[in-house]
Amino acid sequence: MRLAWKEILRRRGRFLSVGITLLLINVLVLFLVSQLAGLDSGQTGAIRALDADLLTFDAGVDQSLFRSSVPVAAVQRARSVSGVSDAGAVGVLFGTGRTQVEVVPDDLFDMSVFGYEPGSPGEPANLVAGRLPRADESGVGAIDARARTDGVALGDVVYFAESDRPIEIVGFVEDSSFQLQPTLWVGLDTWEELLVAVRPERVSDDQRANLLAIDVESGADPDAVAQALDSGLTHTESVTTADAIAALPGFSEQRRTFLTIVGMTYLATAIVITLFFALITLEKSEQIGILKAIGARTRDLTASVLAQSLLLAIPAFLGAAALTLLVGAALPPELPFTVDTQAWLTVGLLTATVSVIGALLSFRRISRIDPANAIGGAGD
Amino acid sequence: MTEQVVVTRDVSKVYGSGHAATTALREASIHLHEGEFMALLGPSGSGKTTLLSIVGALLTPTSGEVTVAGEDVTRLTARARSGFRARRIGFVFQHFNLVPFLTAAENMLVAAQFASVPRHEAQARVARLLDELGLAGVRNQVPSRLSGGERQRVAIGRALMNDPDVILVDEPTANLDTKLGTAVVELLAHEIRSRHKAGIMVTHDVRMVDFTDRTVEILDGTVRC
Ligand SMILES: Nc1ncnc2c1ncn2[C@@H]1O[C@H](COP(=O)(O)OP(=O)(O)OP(=O)(O)O)[C@@H](O)[C@H]1O
Ligand SMILES: [Mg+2]
Repeated sequence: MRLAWKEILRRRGRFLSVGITLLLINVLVLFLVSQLAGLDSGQTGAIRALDADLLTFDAGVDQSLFRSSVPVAAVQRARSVSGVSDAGAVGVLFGTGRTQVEVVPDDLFDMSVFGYEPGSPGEPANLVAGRLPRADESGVGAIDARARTDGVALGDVVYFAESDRPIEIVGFVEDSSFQLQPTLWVGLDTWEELLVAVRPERVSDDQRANLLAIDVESGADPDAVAQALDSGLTHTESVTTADAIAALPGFSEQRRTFLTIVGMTYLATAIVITLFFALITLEKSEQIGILKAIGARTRDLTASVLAQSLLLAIPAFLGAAALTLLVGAALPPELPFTVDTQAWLTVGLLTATVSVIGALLSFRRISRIDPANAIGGAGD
Repeated sequence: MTEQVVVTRDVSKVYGSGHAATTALREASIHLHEGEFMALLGPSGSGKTTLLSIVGALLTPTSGEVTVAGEDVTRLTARARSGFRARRIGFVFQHFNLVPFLTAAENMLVAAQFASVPRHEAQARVARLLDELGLAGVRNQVPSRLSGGERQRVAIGRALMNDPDVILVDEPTANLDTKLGTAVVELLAHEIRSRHKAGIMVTHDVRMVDFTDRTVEILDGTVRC
């Protein structure tokens, strides 16, 4: 091990260049992973904020929030399905928000409105300031904290789309954006008022929302409850919240794209590390022969290469983590960037693994070096 | 009566097989006792390095017996041979062959690492050897900043590090001028005798024979005493 460390110290130049390459690759990967996490949470926040175990959609709409339409009366029937502890209707509208009653282009921002039954599943989690609307109130809402960057403060009034119904902001909810836009959370009645104002074509005789948020009794199997729901209700498709998120348009594709890039980057990393150690092993083969002749075992020498690979990978990852945090902190807030500790740890682990594998590949080369060549022969 | 440290009996070595087979050594028998320094002379290709490598457990003979420091070397496993070389044999190579990024002291220390000598003890030995070999002033220099003679003395120090039974030296003066070469061989002879080691030195240079106790000649793989 001492030999390994001394070599790094005394051959700083070459190890530094590979170390910096590794560090930059790690910055790239950590940045990608954090952007993906930012995109993921920005797109799915509202769904996760519903804090429901299951979501019940209209059947045959591919779990599309907007195309799904479920009668609010189904909530009562859902509650009586065995394994369901509570249910609530959720309505969704997607459009623009503004803070002044007159439409001023500068004032417009994209916003979706989620209507829910206060006190029932579908009520947003993660309230960070103020309060949530109460069941007996109308014209009040809590908004995603993201809207602060659009200039919305507690006590302000916002308007949705073409409606001139003022909604007073009484609270901020964190991590509840939908498709990277802030969500306005209002009671179902207020949501219906907005629906009538801006989407009259969607209003029907029976009261309808877009989906049901379902809480499952503790200990019950969510999949079984989903099945029971769909046989107890008519024409519905119940899925877990995680499945609903995976079915969001583009969500899985986006993951796949990012993870493919990350995978390719690791392939490149593996190649860089493998080639580096193959090269320095080749370059040192005479020296390795000498060390073997004076008693070093292949195992000692491989361990030394392994130690070197970790001495490269670990500082490179830590340096990259620090650098990425700095870059992340300097990013404008509208760029999606979320530090997902678990994903970062995975990146660190992958870097270490890839480095160790790359280093291990030089084992064969080391083991084939014949110590007998060390003696006499070299000059003749 | 001193002990025989190196005994080879009818050792033969054939490299390759079939058409490509080369017989490098034919039934070579040598013996060497404690404190004895032997010169191995012979023309190029006569089998000197091959014999040295067999004694040093770097090569296994095709046939014959080899006993070094009481061990039947031919029966050692590959792993045991590494340990045997680390503890029993000190090599000095023609090309100095020091680790380029280690200092003089570290090049000596590294040998102790392979023989599992405790670090503090190894440090003490290095300090003693550096003094004895006149290297104390350059202990922290890397090989590229040492003269040829200093490098070869570091190599001798490395060979002596683990207090081996046998010192094997292959053309130690090939890369040195006559004066330096003579000094190095003189030093080697002194170290071998004063420490009661057995030493074998391969050389082309007949003048170096003066420093040894005995000369063995090889011709076409056959030893003539
Ligand atoms: N690895 C090997 N494979 C095949 N033949 C070899 C090998 N090593 C040595 N030989 C052959 O064995 C014979 C003896 O070689 P060796 O290296 O022992 O000679 P040497 O006396 O040390 O010569 P020199 O004075 O040139 O160093 C030579 O004919 C050489 O070509
Ligand atoms: Mg030779």
